[in-house]
Amino acid sequence: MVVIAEAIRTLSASHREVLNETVLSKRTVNEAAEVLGLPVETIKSRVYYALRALRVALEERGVAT
Amino acid sequence: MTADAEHTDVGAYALGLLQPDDARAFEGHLAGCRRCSDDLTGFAAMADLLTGLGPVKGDPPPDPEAGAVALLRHRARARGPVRRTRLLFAAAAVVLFTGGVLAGAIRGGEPIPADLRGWGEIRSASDAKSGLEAVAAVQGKGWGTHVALDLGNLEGPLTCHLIAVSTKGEESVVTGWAVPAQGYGAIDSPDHLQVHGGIAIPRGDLKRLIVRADGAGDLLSIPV
Ligand SMILES: [Zn+2]
Repeated sequence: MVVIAEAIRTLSASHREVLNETVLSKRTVNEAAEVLGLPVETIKSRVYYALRALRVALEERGVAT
Repeated sequence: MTADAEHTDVGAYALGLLQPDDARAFEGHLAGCRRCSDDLTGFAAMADLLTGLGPVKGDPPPDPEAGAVALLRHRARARGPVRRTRLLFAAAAVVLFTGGVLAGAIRGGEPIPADLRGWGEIRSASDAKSGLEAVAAVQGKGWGTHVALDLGNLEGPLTCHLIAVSTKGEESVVTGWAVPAQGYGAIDSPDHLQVHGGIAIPRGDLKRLIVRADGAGDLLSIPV
């Protein structure tokens, strides 16, 4: 849990923001798009790149995904 | 709602963030896409880890150990038995961690930003005068070159573009972004910039990347 939060903190601001505003706040990408004032396509693409980055950050901390 | 599913929808799909009709549209794509099936396998475990976590603030608590315990207690109290089951799962996952061993990827003695790992060859450049620092990852693809860029220590407000220059001197715009007035922090801080983009120039014909600011000229050149 702590390690996951730490890994999220190492992500860039836009990646952390998109995870915070979607999965970590229980919002769909459409809901997050409204909150952030961004196109849904942008949110979906950021979620994807954020997950790729997070997987690497977790691997660096010894968490196999 | 979107008519056509994209490869990158797999992230939102894995986390259950698509609306029902979009999820169905993506499943149609998934059935015939090997790349997305592979991504989905990798993302599924993270979906479990992220569920029930809550938003993560940029600043770590002053005492991480105490903060985490307080947070666990608070969560368990606030959300009841269902949440507790999830916490136990997460706690079990923590036990599996083998410790924070950093892989040996190094740029000039500094670790490569986590965002860029897995995105190809790493190249970097910095400007001693302004402090601007950039690390790029370039990866040849069937369609051209994928470029990922981490940028730090840039003051705003500015509008910037990342330009790719081929060996023949041809320029292509990779992507663009706005720098807010407060600017970006160092690359190892949470408030640096990361962007991705693609160009048709094949990897072998790519000579350098330029960070260009509208009205302020070229800020940095990264030989690749
Ligand atoms: Zn696909």
